Amino acid sequence: MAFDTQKINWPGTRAILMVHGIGDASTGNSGAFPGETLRAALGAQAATTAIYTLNYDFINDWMNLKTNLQAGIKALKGALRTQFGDSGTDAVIAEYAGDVLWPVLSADIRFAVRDAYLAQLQQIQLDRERAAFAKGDNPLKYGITIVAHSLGCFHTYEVLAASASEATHRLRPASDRVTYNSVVMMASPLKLIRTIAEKIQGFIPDVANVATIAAPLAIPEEVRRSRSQRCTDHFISVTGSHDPVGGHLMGIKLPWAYMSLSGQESIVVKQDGLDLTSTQSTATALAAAFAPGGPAINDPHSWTAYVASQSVLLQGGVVV
Amino acid sequence: MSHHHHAARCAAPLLASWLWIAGAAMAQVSVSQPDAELLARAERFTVGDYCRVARSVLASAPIMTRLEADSVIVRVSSATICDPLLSSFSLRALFGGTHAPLAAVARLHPQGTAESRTRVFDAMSEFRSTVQSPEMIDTVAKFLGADTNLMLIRVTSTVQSLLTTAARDGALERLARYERKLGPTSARLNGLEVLLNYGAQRWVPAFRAHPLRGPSPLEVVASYTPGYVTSAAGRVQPVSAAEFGLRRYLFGPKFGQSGWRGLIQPSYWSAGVVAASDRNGALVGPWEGRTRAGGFLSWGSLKVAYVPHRRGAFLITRQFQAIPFVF
Repeated sequence: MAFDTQKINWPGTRAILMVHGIGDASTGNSGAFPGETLRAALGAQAATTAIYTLNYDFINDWMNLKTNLQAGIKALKGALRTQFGDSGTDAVIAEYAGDVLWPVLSADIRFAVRDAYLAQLQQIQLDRERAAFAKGDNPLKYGITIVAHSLGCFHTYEVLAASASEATHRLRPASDRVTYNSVVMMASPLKLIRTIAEKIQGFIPDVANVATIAAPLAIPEEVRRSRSQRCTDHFISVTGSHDPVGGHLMGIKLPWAYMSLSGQESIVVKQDGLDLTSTQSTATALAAAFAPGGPAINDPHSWTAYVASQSVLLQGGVVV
Repeated sequence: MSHHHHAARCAAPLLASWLWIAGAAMAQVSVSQPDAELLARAERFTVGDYCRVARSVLASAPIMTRLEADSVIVRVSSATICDPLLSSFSLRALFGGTHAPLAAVARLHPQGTAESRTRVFDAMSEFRSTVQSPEMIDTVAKFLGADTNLMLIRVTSTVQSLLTTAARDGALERLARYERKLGPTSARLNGLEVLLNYGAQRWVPAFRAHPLRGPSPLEVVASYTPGYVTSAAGRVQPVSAAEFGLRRYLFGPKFGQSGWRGLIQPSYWSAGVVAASDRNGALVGPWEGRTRAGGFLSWGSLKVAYVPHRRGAFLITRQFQAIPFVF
């Protein structure tokens, strides 16, 4: 079935786009998005916030039908284990890197997800303008926030970088005046992907069009008339102290896997209560995150838990 | 600047085609639908309306002072927007969505029309991004007056939305092409084809997807096909063959059908060389006995091959995988 964008009549002056990662992220509930948790976190603001969701599982489904995608991911994990060694913390992360790295190896998947994402961002701009027009307001005074999780952070970064540099998309921060109130990256594997991709760069198709690898990681911006304009004033990283995908293992930050961009606002959620005291228990808890049925209660990568922990941030408040 | 102009040149035909399609559909859709509402607005506002708000900005000394060096951009872009030959065009007509007023057409040299439009279109983007910058937005609202500022917001945002709509439809069109090549009506690949196509995308530009043009229509075919049949000695006999060639996806809007319509308007066609044993039979290796070579041609899932010098030279089959991802 052909993809179409989600169109919403904005009930207020704010919208949030939730960008999915991989697996079922909704702990304890059916559905792939922790929508109820987000509404609870927003409190009274939920009624006046347009909540969009973007899930690109349909593109994964295409690839599953056309090629044996799962076998490819398994082979990739095997190759990464060889690269990192079979023991220690790096090996644990390498196991999950396979789940988030595969889009880098397929230009078709990467660009297809990018186009679905771009179309949705463009639709949000149109919905915003329509809502503001109806009320006699300036659409540029209406705010948009992006909340991405896991692999969704990679696609978000790629799309924001493409938006900032490519006129055709009509989403440039300065020339088109498209900026976001905040971009919240929850458990971002961006640095993890970049580090590993650098090791296998020769195998990556069209590296020049992978922003995560092609240039140093930085908040996407447009330079117009010698002035730079970032896509957002609040590029926020939220990750857990025990989430390997977000660059932490058993409370220790792993610099090679932790996303740290200049100008980024960083939040590390304490996850000591999850009782993850070994690489084995971490692996067991994480395994459910990438499988059908959703994450376990003590999963350090759970999107539900991240959203629940950040109600002040999601209500548009300050980063604490 | 040249990059900007190039993008504008690319966007103009896209806009024109989108507006034509959307316009044709308007009679069938309710104006409550988002795109129809935008089109109706774009029909109502004229280039002259845009010019009037631009002149209001120029006439405001506090705004022009606050703009500092950027006041030059506003002056230059306003001069372009206020082309008297285009002032009676609706914003929709400006982008080619409807017929331009006859009086204006008569005054314009036919070859100059598209260029004039592109120039105005660029100027409108420059004007909006300058006067609606975070530094200027409140100043403009304060000194322009409520009514004129509202008109400025409405006219500039309508143009921006027309551009955004064309960009969105461009992204959806590319995505539809990816679905044609990767989705349910595409050909399934075996393990060898996955590797060969990965290699082709990595090292051969013609096979590479492009961020603005979408997927390459080409795909490498390298398969073992046990499902051919031929007629020999008065009866139908199975034949197995190896195929090497190219598949080309059909991205036109009429193609990509499934079911019986897919026989007429499929997602792809393919051609190449085929090798088969001179012996007929299911699962007979192409290299068993004497190998004969010929050619194959497919139209969607229907495939015919001609292999001379064997019992049953004409082969026919339907594209399928007997064992998923293997053959």
